[in-house]
Amino acid sequence: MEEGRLISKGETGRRESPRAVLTIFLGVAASLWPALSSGGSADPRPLLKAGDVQEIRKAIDERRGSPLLVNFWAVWCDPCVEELPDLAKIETRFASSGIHVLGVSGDLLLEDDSPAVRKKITDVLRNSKVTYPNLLFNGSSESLVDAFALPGPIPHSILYSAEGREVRRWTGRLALTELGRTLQSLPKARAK
Amino acid sequence: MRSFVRFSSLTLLALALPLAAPFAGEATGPQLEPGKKAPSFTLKGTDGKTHSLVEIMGKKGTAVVFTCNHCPFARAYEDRLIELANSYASKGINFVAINPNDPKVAPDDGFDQMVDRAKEKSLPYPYLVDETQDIAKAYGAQVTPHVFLLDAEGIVRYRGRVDNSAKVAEVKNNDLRNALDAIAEGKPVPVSATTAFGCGVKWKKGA
Repeated sequence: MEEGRLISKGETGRRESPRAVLTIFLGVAASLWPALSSGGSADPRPLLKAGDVQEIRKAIDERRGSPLLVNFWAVWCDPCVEELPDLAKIETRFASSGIHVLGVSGDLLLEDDSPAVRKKITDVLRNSKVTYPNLLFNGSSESLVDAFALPGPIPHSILYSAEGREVRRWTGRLALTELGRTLQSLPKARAK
Repeated sequence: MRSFVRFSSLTLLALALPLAAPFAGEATGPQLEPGKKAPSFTLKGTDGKTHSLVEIMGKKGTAVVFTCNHCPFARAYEDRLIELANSYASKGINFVAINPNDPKVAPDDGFDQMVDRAKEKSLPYPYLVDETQDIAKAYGAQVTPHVFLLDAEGIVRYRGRVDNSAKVAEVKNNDLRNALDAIAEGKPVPVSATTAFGCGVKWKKGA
């Protein structure tokens, strides 16, 4: 499918004329329509994909060009689940910054990958109205802690600039107002 | 333009980092580092008696473990801690578990639930409640489970995780066991500090 490419073309911020934007919009809508109306699944994006530290790094690199918030969480972590509805609002609330959110679930640190575990995680994400993608981390806690210099407790969130540099971290619940201020202080992303 | 962008984001980063630092630990203070004297404590146990560090201390050393009832990560390590406590008692190292969590935040961590858990698991070590959270703050406990291993003099010789994986089958680095062996033999511990991963300590709201 071409929709991913079309959407990202629209987002990378090259000035398009209103007519061109409309054309792209109609094109995306038309290409999505059969998927939405036929399959029964209304989700254009898969919520979960298993991966190790390399997969997380790859996902972060792929999102260069816009600020990115990476949130480390797990279903077994109550304060993590409590903050998911806040995180779910970030991409729309701070849309002008172009921010994306990526979740990294630590549930496989305790449980083996299975349809039941995935359903449990997906249910929590849907209940919290999360639509941003999540990686289901399948390495060791040691490799995760070492790769991202995690302090130990989750939730833990790291904000990266559009250039991929770490800007700020939050241990515990992230404050949306602080995130907003930090995003405003970032230099605007360069058009490619 | 390119160099300006680079310069400004670098400057921003330099400005943002020191500003971010005071928030980084939240309610948690700095961890008690190896070489430091461990603060003493007197806390109520699930047996209804009060226990102090000096009474608990083993001839060779003491493992002070911040843990709790509710946290699945802590529960995953419970049997390992019981096994370690049983193995090292004869080698002169005693264990003590301290629950630092506010039961208003984590209801399963209330004292009555602790009593039930201690009976259910026949815990071989005292299970104490840190109601004021002062001891957790003094040690700089970040998560459950979080271990501080003291030598015979009560000096911290190891702090951090039990091992590298909550899944027993995937354990490769037995950091606590290695440190226990070293303490029991009166040798320097091979790795004295690791990052403990788990559920954050449930601090009192507004504390």
